[in-house]
This record gives sequence, C-alpha cells and structure tokens, in this order.
Amino acid sequence: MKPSSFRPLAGAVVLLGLSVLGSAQTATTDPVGFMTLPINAAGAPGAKAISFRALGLFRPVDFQGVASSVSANPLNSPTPDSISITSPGWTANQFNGANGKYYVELLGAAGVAGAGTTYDIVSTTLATDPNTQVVTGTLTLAQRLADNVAGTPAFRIRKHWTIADAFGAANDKGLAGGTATTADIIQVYSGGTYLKYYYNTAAPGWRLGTDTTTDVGGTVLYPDDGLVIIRQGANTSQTTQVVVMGAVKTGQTSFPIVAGQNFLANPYAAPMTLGSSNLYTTDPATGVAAGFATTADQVLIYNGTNYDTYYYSAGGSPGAGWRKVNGGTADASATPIPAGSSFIVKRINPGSFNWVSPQHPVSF
Amino acid sequence: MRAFLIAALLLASGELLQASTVSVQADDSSGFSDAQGADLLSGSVLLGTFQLANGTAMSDSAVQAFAMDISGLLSHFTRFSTTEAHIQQGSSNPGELSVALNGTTATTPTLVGKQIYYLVVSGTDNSTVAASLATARQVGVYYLDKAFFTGTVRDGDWAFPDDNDFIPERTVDIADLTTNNLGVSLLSGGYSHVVIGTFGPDHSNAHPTAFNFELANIPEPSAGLMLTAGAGLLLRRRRRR
Repeated sequence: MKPSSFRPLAGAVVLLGLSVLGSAQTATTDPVGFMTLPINAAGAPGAKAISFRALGLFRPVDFQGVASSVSANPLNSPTPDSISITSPGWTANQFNGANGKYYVELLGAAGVAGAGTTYDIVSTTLATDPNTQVVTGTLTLAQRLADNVAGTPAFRIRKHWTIADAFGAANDKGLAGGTATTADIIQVYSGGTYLKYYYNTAAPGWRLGTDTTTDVGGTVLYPDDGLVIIRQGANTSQTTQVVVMGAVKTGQTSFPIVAGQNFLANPYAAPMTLGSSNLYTTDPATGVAAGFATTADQVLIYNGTNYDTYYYSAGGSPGAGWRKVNGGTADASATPIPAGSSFIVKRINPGSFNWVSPQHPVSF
Repeated sequence: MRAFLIAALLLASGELLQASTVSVQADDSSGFSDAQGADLLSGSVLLGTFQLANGTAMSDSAVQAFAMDISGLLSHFTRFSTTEAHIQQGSSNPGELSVALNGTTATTPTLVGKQIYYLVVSGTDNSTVAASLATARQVGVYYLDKAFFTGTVRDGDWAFPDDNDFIPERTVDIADLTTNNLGVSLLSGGYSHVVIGTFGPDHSNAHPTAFNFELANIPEPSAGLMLTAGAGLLLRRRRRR
C-alpha cells in the first residue's frame, strides 16, 4: 500500500483502499477501497436530520469481456434485448435468480454509443454449437439496449448493491435501528414515491414504511440512486459514520433523467462539480435545459438546512452559465458535488435524457 | 497493487427544519414600474394569498374593492414570511429583485396549497416592508393562476408548499405571467392576473423588449381620510332629505 495522488481535502474523511480485481474472464484494474459516509446528527430531541448520500463505491466486477453479438429489438418488441459472448466461462444462471441480482454495464470511451449505460440481467444461459462445439453465453436484459450500440461492445457485470449488502444484514454498518419512527431511515425516491426503509430491532430485519415484518433487505439500491438518510428519534446527538466497502467506478457513467424529480448519486469516489458533471451539454436532449430560474431544469443540493437551487441560465439579468437561484451573476460552475453525496435534478422541460458523466477523476 | 486515497467532503450538519422557502424574483425580463411609468427604484415585495378568515380564496374583484384601501387590502392578505424583500435586492437593475423568503405556511388560515400572490408596495419610505406599508402611495397585485401548471411536472409551482413536504421550496418570477417569460405578452387563457396595476405600457430599462408590471396609485392617507369623511357627509345629507 502506498499513498496515491488523491489529496485529502480540508475537513475531509480520508479513505484508503487498494487492490486489483480479478474476474472470471478478464482481469480488471478497478481499485477497491472503502468510503466513510457521515450521517448527520439531528441536533435536538425530536428533530430530524437529513443527509444526502450515495454509496460512492460499486460492487466488484464479476465478469468483463467483449460481446460477440448483441440482439437489439424494436421498441415494443416482445423479445428482450440480449448480449452474447463466446466461451464466457460462466455457468447457467450465474448472474440471476438465487445468485442475486446483477447488471451489465457497457464500456467504451467518451462518445461511444451506450458507454456507461446499465441493464439488469434477467437470465444467464449457455449454448454449445453442435458443429463447432463453441460455447456461447447469453445475457437476457430487462431493459432495451441504448440506440446505436455497437455489434460487439465491451461490457462488465457487477452484482447490485442491496440494502443488506450496503448497510449490513444485521445493520452493523453504523445506522441506528429501532421502529419506523425512531430508526434511521434510508429514503429512496422511486416512481414518484418516497420509499422509507429502516432496520427493525424488535423483529430484526430491514423493513419498508410501517411494515414491521416483511424482509426487504434484498431491495436493490441502483447505481444512480441518491440515498437520503433521515436520522430521527433518540439518535439526535450523534453523527454516525457508515463505512461502505467496494470498487471505484471507472469510465463514464450514464444515468437516465426523467420528467420531474430525480434523486441522483455522484457515482464516483471523487468529487465533481456542476461544471465538470456534464449535466449541461448545450442540448436539452442530452442534458439539463437552460433558461430562466423558473423555466430551466433545476439542480437542488441540500446545504444542511434547506436546498440551494442551481440552473443553467440562458441569459437575462443573471447572465449565461451555471447560476444559483438568488445568487445574482456569480458563476456557480465550481459548486461541488462531493464523493458519497447525492442531489436532485428537477427536469421540468419536455422529454428525458441520459446524463453521461465523465469519469472523476479523469485519471488514476 | 496500488494504493490510493479517496477524499470525501464532510457535509454540513443537516437539521430538518419544518419551514418553507419561496424565492421571489423579477429578473427574467419583466420587472416593476411605478404608476408614472418609470422603472421602480424602491419598494417592498410581499408574497402571500388573499383569503377570507375562513380560508376561502377571494376573487379578483373582491381584492380590487380594496385597491384604494391599503389597510383593508392587508387585512385580507395572509403574508408568507417576514423576510424583507425589496426592489433591487439581489439585482442591480431598477424594478427587479431576487430574494429567498423563509417562513412557514402553517398560518391561520393556512397557506398550504393556496395561490401565491405578489403584493408590491411603494411608499415614501421603503427602508423596510413595514415602512413601505405605512407610507404606501402605490400598490400592485399580480399572480399566475396555479391551475396553469396542473397536470404538469411544475404542478404546484405557484401554490405555497407544505412545511412538511420533503422539498418545501418554490421559485416564482413575475415574468412567469408572460409567454416564455419574455415579458412581451401575458399568457393566453386568462391565467395571468393583473389584479391591481397594469402590464405595461412601460418597458424594462434592463430588458427593453419586455413590459414591466406597473403599480397603481392609492390615495395618501390624509386624502383617503378626506374622501371617507366626504362620503360620510354626503350620506348624511341624503338621509336628511
């Protein structure tokens, strides 16, 4: 182990890790390590505190290779899209079913169609050509492949994080258990609804909402999920550190942004800024739409008390560029989105887009 | 093998407050002008809603009935936030402002879900909101009907949030009343309400293609009293006949 070129920041939690991952097929070099996520104290009895967090690290790469072909089907086709590879070395159902929930990430340099997009794996199959004896593995996907994906894309497979994986099956990573009204809440925004998970200490296990019995520890936390940790009840005076262990995300990342609110993670183990995030691309079909404070898509970052709202100003009195609402003409492009944090994109303009964020840092 | 350090910023302690924030703006295009047709140099801007004591929303005509009576107008106005907001606060241009108002919508009657109104007041002393109200000479009342956004992702943008909402925040700009926020024409469909005052004819000096929202004169307190006294005398004379 040796120190790297990452420079500890003032007031920062220093995290350390190293390794080279091996996979079944292809060795990868994604570094692994751990990240400490501070969970804010509520400050006063009966008060609540919220922390916008992201896991910041990914599960290790289980497989990486180059596809021999893809099957991309028309919209509304009953046939799901799939990716195939020859001689993968995996076993049937290795990446689905009882083995857990896995996903494919397409790889590629910036500008490569679909690079950084992810797809849940529905099935993992193997077939042997009776003539050539060549074994072909096929991954059936839950989502349609991105448009214009190459015929033989590079890809990798990781297991999804679940609540139990990330925070401990027995809640041993630092969150407070209790009841729905006293435990720390992991809030996930999904389908227009705030889902609130907590660890029930009376009938031990992860629970959703006011349910006290149904085990939800296996709930997937998607790579783009921005997590909001709500500290409540008697846990008012402590700031907890939740330690997450995993692999550093490399390569560009692509997350879907849909109409309305999107709670998003900084997927990287390094800070980004509004300016470096590539959230604004000049094209509202690929990034946030510019406009006035009330007409542009908005980025909301929690400041510990309320939200700072940012937008890409198309002009007017604030001038053009990233601006903070009520921030005048000051350039807000350097506004940080720290590692291990999450934020909100409020898409108010028509259509959705894929936020393609470049790797942070640019190089390791 | 290689080692590295990952740094993550410690985020500020985050206490969840039961309060709301509404950013009041007039800096897209349209701003405010005085009744004489000049960009407003000073004044105070209040956000709130006009409603009866039982929480029933008031019609535009009911609000207009108090156009000459600032105290009567205020008696039906439920103000959101005591944060001061003044013309040219957060903007260097006359007639404009950009200010975050912090407060609660748990008022009596409640503000939750109610229509957001701009109440713009200019007096002889605009050093504080209270001074503007006490010395008021001109007033304007404007709003964008919250129904304009019904069924869209901006649903509720011109309605006050609930303090308990996860994101109890709104941002409104007076130019929202105009097409594409350009300040050239009011929205079609009758959603833009100029209750007291006018839209134009004065243009913004900072954005010359945009019309400003002009305030209307209200009588000076002494003149108002004289008018009231005069009307009273007239009634007495008529009764004697």
